[in-house]
Amino acid sequence: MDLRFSPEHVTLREEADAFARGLRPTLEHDPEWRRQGMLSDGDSREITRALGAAGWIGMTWPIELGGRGLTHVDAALVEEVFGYHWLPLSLYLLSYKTVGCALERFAAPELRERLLPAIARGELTFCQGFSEPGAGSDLAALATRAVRDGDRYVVSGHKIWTSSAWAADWIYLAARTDPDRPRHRGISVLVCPLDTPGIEVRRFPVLGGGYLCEVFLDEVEIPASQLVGEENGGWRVLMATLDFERVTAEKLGGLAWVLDELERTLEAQGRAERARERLDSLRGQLEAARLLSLRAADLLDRAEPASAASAMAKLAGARLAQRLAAEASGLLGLDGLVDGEPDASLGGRVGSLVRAAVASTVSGGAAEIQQIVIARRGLGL
Amino acid sequence: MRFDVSTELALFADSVRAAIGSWEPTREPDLGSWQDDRDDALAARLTAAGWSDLGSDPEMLGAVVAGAIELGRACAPICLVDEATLGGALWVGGRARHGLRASALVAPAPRGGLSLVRACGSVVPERTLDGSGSVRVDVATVEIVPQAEASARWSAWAAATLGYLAGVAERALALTVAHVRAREQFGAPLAALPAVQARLADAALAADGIALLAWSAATGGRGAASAERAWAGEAACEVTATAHQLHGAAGFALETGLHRWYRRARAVHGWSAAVSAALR
Ligand SMILES: Cc1cc2nc3c(=O)[nH]c(=O)nc-3n(C[C@H](O)[C@H](O)[C@H](O)COP(=O)(O)OP(=O)(O)OC[C@H]3O[C@@H](n4cnc5c(N)ncnc54)[C@H](O)[C@@H]3O)c2cc1C
Repeated sequence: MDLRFSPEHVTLREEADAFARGLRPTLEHDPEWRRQGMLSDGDSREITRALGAAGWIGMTWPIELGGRGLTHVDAALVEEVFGYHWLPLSLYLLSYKTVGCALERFAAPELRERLLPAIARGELTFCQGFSEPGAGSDLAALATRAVRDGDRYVVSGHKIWTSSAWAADWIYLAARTDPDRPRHRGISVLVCPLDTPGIEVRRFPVLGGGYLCEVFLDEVEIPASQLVGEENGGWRVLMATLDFERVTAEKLGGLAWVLDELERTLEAQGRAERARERLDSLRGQLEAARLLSLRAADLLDRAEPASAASAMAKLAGARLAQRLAAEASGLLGLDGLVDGEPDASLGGRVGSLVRAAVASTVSGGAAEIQQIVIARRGLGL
Repeated sequence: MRFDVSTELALFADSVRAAIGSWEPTREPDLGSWQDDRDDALAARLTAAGWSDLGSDPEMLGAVVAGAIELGRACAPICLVDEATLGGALWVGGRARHGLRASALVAPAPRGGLSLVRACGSVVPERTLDGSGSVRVDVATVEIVPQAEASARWSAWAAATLGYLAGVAERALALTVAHVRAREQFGAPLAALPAVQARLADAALAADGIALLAWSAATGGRGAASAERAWAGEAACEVTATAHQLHGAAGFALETGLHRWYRRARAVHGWSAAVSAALR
């Protein structure tokens, strides 16, 4: 084992750092950027386009599909840097890391060639329509129906908690294509533009400071060529998609910034020594979470089973987010309640992190579901 | 020892509850903005129900706790606690909560002291996590409250803070129990899952623990001691975190309102710790 960065990693991170720094001035005056407590959950088409134009989207894809032929470990190291600079990354994460990487693996060559280069340029963005009112942790209960009719599917249903649907161009949908088969074997994945007739998006505010959406689908016609993977073979596609989603390197980057700033602030106030043990333990927890996340990325690179490792990565990041939010708020006293004052400690971000951290053990699969994956897939229980 | 609440106090709690009615903050929070949920109409109804200046009379500690529990259950403006127990809005460490339109400002002083203070200079609203109406303001002491009255008022405030936290925890727990009974996943209510039951059991023992500390403070327990509030604040934060966890994404949507108890628990805990430090 050698867990050191290579010289190429260092250079790549420096490049990412310079790029992200350049974007900061466009963000600092945006009230949405201030309100969003888990910044990597923020939505910004502008930032997504800038990321695409500079070649940062689709890093792991082949050059002919608009990528750079890098590894998931490389991408995770870059995402940490973007997170450290609090870039709003939701559209990037959905379009490239989650949906895009699943498309790269499962979509037919024509569909891949149609979508991936546009995603890589930052010109095509995706949201992910899995959850439904009756299907949250129990995703296999999903009831959205896709009925085959010649060369198209007709889809009706109701998706909920859909991140970024108000800002995205396309949706990646999980739908039931065969209600007579066992639950996990009758699901398929389809993609379509959000302006397809029959789709309605409602956006609502959430505690993190941004929005989630509901997506209503009423007899939406989707060409059969936009099926991802095999008909009724969608469960495998969904699980692989979640493996990509659960490596949350960008969150760890944001948390690293919080911890650095917290330490700096306490030092300036002459209070760091009293808090040293806590700060050290948080730093240790962060480093462990980073390595868990990079290990999962490495398994994805090697196309090995990654579910348990990516569930660990996700859970480690989520636990750290909640602990760091609570510890930072406690260590800063009343300053730790400030939410949205740019001149306050940590740019007034601690209060918003306290709000937003609530979702870290829910989104992308509840903590208890990650525990089940770790216990079953990792420990063989 | 008796662990039941007297009829008299139960009746008082009922009248406070009736005065609160179905009170909710008048508008959805604008996250990251200055928020102040002070509500004069609610304050007037509570005064009529007997929730007025209770802080200087040690005989009233039971009523203070009974009423504060109801306030916490409703996540009512925290100035109602400060005004009824300390006689004014609370100022500590350069900040006052509900500091705009406060009838008076009071501040903790070392060794359990209490001072009446007045604002000098500008009063600057500060955006914080919840609707506690935080303002930054410098103050000058107007009057030092006599020690006997100061310690009576701090005892009442500490008991009320514990009561408020107990109400917050109890309500967050009750909302969650109702949610997991109604919400079905995997073909059964979430409530049937052992992991869910275990987490709720932890929340229940925290909520009961906080309530017992509050009643203990009401009946001549350790009064203004900070240890009970330190734990109760953490425990109430934990219970509201459990509430969010078990509500899943539904709790994250602002429209469900669960966030009010989550945010308030943290604000009350933070202010309580700041007061403890200032009283030492
Ligand atoms: C910020 C955010 C963004 C999201 N973005 C998307 C998105 O883009 N697309 C999308 O499809 N979905 C999205 N979701 C939804 C997310 O996938 C679901 O919230 C998650 O799967 C949990 O489902 P649920 O909210 O319905 O909770 P429920 O399934 O109702 O569960 C509630 C709680 O019960 C407990 N629980 C549930 N099952 C078990 C179990 N088996 N054992 C023990 N405890 C259990 C857990 O504590 C859980 O949090 C998002 C959610 C959030 C909060």
